[in-house]
Amino acid sequence: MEKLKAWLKKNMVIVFLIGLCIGFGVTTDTFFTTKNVMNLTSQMAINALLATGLTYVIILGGIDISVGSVAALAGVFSAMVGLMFPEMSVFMSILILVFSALFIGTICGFFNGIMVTKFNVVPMITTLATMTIARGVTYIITGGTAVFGLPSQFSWLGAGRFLTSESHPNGIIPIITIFTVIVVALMHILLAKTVFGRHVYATGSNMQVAHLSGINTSKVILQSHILCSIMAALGGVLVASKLQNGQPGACEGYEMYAIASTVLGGTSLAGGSGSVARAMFGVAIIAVINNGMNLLTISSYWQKVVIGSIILLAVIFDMSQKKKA
Amino acid sequence: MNPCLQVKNISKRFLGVKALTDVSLDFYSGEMHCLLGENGAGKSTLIKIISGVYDATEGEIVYNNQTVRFQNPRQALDAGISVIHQELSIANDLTVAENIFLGAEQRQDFKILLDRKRMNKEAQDILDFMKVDIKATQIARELTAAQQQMVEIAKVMTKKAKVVIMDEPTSSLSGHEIKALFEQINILKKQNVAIIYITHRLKEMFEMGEKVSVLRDGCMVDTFQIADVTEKELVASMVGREIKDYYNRQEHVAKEELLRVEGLTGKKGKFKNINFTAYAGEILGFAGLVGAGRTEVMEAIFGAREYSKGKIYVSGKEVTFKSPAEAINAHIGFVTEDRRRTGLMLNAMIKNNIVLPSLTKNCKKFGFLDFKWEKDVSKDYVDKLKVRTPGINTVIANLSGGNQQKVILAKWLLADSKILILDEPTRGIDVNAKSEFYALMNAFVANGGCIIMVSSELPEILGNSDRIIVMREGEIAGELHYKEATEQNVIELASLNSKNT
Amino acid sequence: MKKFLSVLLCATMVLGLSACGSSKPATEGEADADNGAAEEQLTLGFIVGSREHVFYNLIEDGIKNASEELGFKAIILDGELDSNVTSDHINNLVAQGVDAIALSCNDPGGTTPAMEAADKENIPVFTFDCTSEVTDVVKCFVGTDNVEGGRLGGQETVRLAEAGQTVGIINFDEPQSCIDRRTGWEEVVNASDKGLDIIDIGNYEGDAAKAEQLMSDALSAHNNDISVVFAVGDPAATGALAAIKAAGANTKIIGFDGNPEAKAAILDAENGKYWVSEISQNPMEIGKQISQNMMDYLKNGSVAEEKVMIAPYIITEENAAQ
Repeated sequence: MEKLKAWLKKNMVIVFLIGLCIGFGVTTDTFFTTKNVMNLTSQMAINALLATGLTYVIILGGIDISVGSVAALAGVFSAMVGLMFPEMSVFMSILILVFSALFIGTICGFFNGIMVTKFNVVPMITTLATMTIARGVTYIITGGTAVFGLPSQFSWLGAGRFLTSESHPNGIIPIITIFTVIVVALMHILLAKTVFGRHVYATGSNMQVAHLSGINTSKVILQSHILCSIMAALGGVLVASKLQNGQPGACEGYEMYAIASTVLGGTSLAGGSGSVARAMFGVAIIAVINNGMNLLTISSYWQKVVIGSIILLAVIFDMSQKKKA
Repeated sequence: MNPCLQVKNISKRFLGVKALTDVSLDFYSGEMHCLLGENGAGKSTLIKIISGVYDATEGEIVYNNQTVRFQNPRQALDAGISVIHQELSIANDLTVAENIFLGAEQRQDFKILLDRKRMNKEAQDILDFMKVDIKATQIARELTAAQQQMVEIAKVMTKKAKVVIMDEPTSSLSGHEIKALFEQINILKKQNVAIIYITHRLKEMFEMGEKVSVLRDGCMVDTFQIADVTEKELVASMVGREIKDYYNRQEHVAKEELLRVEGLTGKKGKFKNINFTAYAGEILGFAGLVGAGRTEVMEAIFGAREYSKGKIYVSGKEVTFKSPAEAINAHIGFVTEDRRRTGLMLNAMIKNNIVLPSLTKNCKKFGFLDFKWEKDVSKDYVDKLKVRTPGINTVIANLSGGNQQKVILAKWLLADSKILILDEPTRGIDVNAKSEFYALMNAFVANGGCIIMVSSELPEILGNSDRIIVMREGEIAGELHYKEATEQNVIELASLNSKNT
Repeated sequence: MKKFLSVLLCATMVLGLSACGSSKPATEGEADADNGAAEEQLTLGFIVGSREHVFYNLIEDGIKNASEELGFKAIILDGELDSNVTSDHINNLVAQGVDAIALSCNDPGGTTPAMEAADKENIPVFTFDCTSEVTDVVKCFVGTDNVEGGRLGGQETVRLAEAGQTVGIINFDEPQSCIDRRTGWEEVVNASDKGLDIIDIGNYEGDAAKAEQLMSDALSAHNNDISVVFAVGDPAATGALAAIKAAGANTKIIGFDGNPEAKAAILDAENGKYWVSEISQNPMEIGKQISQNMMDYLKNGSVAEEKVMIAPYIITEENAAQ
């Protein structure tokens, strides 16, 4: 009994998520249809990638509020690269998308990381600058217009589905979901099972101790920022692929949802603890609320109120648990 | 005379565990009443109840002949009960004056703006009065731990307290600073303030105290008039048995040279022209006043601080460490002086702390962690060093200071350190844990290791070192063999002006 | 190295700030001004809703063309869709002593005080795209007839849907223009005799990805049984297109704005199956008309009409290539 109680306390998010799903399952006819569940997983994908990258940075005790802008920049960049290859194959389109994400992500992440480690600018300010710069560059290179005219192969990764059947002529399992699951799983393993991951935790837990224990903390911070921006950029190219066009205004404000998901998943903003897998529960909660309330045709304003309140409750709950301990 | 503060039959339970059982004590104005006990004996719990941090499970507190029940530390403070904690509560980015008047800022006549001039002046008056070399306008971050402690004391002095609780106030102070503190205590006593004083240093009690109460396992053992009791009796009642000699001196045999430092000179004059050699199989003590530059020298050797001149040789080969990582590769370990800030990841598990410097060398292919290895070696070291803990998955913040220190030691032993630098290794650790720690040190050098121990506690230096290097104002003032070293000549070397020698 | 990096940082910051802030006046107009007889030339201040939207950029182009044709100096500022920024711009223009001010009044409540203050200084105030109903200082308004545009969208909806089918609308609840489009659309669709079932797909907040999510949720909730969707802006149509294709639905899309991507989609063999119709505005014309009316007012003390509505028009496969 005690054990169960302890488990419940530690895994409140999971209980809450299941509760939400049951709630929406009862109040709508469509929530548990295959189609909706699959939609739901594809809707989670972008935020899942952003939250995954943020988990690294937040464990380090930092923050990255530039993820939304970096995503948008990578998205239009990939679309512009895509325009150069009108005859691209599906394989080629994946190469273009992944290359764009790595390219833009590395540049932005390197910039953030160098500012934080070499110039000691606090992450909040650094990434605030990057957020503004990246968005600005996005508008400059697009002139404010959507980048369109991409061939349909370009949208295979973001909008394609596997397993076509008679009842599902367009396929059941979104490719974006599979792609995201693989990336997130790799990132989870990197953080939880490798020396690099352990160094991230150590640096976030106590940077001086980590340094004195022989860890190159600057390198860890730099690498984590690069990873975070690459994840954001991956999210961005997936949006572009999904919409089959590059929107300069895409992903505005996504950083807030991603940070909220990470925090909901129990990653402490003070650094030192957290996990990618747990952040995914936060991602799922936000996606389920959005999806469920859309199905119930509840106004988006109320969705914001509800999500904000849940984040607050989660933090209060987290704090009260820490106080007791 | 009525007691100023009475504690009556206080008990405190945490989640069913008894931290205090039926403790009764009377404190009188104008007296220094010492509390003595091993770590975990309940001293901290007792003062937390008095100062309103915890609520007693049973019993009552009578203050000025009235039963009181403080809801929070603020209420206790307003009623005239001040606490100087072991862990300093200094706001790093504020000035000294701002820290001193934190929460009681002096305002100008129109009550909005702070009266900085007056605050700075009054703060400076207090600091001058205390004879400490601190400027009221300095930023607290720039101060050493010892100086920050003095600011804490200055803070209490400005509040007209009737009861002042001091929790190990001297643990980071040295020589004249302790003297300055004692002068303040004497003034407080004359002003009829009751002082509750917690320390592990028996010497201080005998010098300053009127009464001493001994706590053991959450129970009151006895209260003595200090004039009527001996050091041995106190130690015996603390641990429940007599400890003959907790330093248990051992003779070591120095073997091959492990570390040689030649003409090491730091930046900004922190240290100058440091020369010494350390051999396998010996404990080399570094004595000196706080601020003599000992820690800085050690940091430079460990690659954690830049130096401008000089050479360092490890096992005869010249080295230049650009980071601690390189020093660790050369089998050097460094137990820092502030274990909470620079020694431990407090919120991490014991095993995570132990393996941290050794991870890179003991991982599987592609940098994957070897969890089985982590578990096995951690268990091994926890057993070998007798760390008292429920298990290797316990969060380290939950361990006592002595056990935390053992974990840090385990971390460096696992990292295969041959040269171990210990900076104030037993600060804030109780007597029993100290002697265990010394035994571990002896075992390490017996196995061919070399220990360089920086300590401000003279008995510790004298009781353990084979050779003692004394530093003064950034330079080496002299070297003594343990047989010729006495408290007297070490203090002389550490504090006399070089012109007089 | 450090020095180099800090210079690099400064350069990037300046670049970034000038790119996104864009609150400094457009210099082209001023440059023109210096060549001619400065005293006689009138200076007109314009505040566009946001430089981040093609629509406003096209209005800006229309103003610039007009400034060359009619010979006035144009100061064009970016209101960043923020009534606070817009108000500051109005005050600054007043301080600079411009002869007239025209703004896109996206948030009438927030900018009215500044507009009235300008009017008191005897600087006539004009509006374009969006106007303020709460003050009577506006000399002339030039805008798209969004209600009419909505009605055109409604006509197209009724044309494309069959009797008794479900039709949906993706809204943007904040801008007045989008609210007007919805009003016009609902008016026509409700009045039709086809007995169409109207569903509200949701507020897409200007985010294409959000529109995609709303659309796919709506399609799940109705088992793909949505015959036509009216998007109040092109990003919404873009999102809807992706959702419809992914869901394998056969919903037709009517977009609004007339952006290049809309025309491209209509002409595209694949995307044109879904995105069949577009209600287009005429931003260049708005820019031209507002300039013309300001000059008229400054010369004659009055304008021909206080409300100039530029009619939107329908784009389909037939005329998209033009």
